[in-house]
Amino acid sequence: MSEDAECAEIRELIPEIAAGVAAGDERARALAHLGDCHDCRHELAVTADLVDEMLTLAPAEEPPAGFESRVMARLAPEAKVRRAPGRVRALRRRPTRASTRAAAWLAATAAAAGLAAGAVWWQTAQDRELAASYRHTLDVAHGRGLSAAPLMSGLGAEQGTVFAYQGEPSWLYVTFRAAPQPGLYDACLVTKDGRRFALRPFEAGHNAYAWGSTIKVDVREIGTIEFARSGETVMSARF
Amino acid sequence: MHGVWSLSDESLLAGMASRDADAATAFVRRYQARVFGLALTIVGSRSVAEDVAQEAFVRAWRHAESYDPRKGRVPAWLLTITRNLAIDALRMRGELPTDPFLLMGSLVSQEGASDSSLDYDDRDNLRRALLALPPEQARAIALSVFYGLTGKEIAAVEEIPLGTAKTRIRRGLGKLREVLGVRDE
Repeated sequence: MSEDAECAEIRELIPEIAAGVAAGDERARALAHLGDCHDCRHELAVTADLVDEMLTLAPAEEPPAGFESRVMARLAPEAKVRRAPGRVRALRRRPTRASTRAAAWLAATAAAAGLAAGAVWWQTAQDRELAASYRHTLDVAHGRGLSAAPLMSGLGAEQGTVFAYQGEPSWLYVTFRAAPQPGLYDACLVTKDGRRFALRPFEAGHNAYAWGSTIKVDVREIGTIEFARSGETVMSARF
Repeated sequence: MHGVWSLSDESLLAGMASRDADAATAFVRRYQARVFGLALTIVGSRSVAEDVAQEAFVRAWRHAESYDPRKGRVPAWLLTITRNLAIDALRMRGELPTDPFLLMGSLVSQEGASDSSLDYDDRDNLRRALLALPPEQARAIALSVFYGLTGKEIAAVEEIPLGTAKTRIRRGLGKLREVLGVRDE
């Protein structure tokens, strides 16, 4: 590809890169080009500045009363404050009214995401228990987010739901609509910028309806979750 | 504590990086209306916007050390964090709370921020240019910049070809850039 043609192709991608929404592979391709191309770098910088300016156009709005106190309550456990010696270590983050409400909101939105994905498992008693456990987990562990994506077969049929939890630790949990074909599946997390992380393999028996693994990346970085058999991806979920 | 109120944004972030609660208080007070306002603009719900805004300040506190002034000003950095969290909240909810064209309208009908890097005339011109955009371009830009949709997702939402979605964003942004005195070569 000539330099001009490559620049033209990258310029097509720049609005999405500036807005932070470009797909991982496109972003990686653009970044490789931008390293050597001053003009395209300038183009990206100008477009990114414009996006920044648009964000500042949003009208200011005073938050609800007590907002500042609630934020400071969340920061307090990590702040340097004068406390009696030996007490700092004993202090643990406690759920504030706001964080409890946030957890409830996260649980509710996670439930909505599951329903939006058409997850039939929601109708079963076993999985209602599972949903309840998610709410409980967020509440107890001060989880920061729970996201979900449909798990699809190579033929486009929905096989289940992948849940991604942002917390300490962060983890994935998959519920299958029907037990997958028995066997060993290699599981892999691919980030939006193309990095691949092998996850705990999934050894599917005849009654395996769920699988889980801890993850080491921020949930927001997840691009896809892939399950492969004999080197061939047979199920994947796109976040 | 009185001293911190007059400190620059960068100094407050430096204070936050060293876990100074007073610096954090001043920072929150300085930006809470802007952060909450942007969150509310995107998510359309005061309770969700508060959760987003709280989390934005927690992230700013935790990542203050990694703020690099060469990569942008503090308001842009903080508002980008806010925007990303608001988009995450929207994705969990799976729906857009406000028609994107109406969202763009809210940007041009209200008094703007004082923490922009633009002077008043440029900001006013930017508002006028937003108002003058063809509705389909304004919608595409709102979907991308405020709702975090990719070109592919915009094409699906608007039921248009991918190339058309990308063209609308590119042309719309091009027009906005012109009013800021930056033109395509």
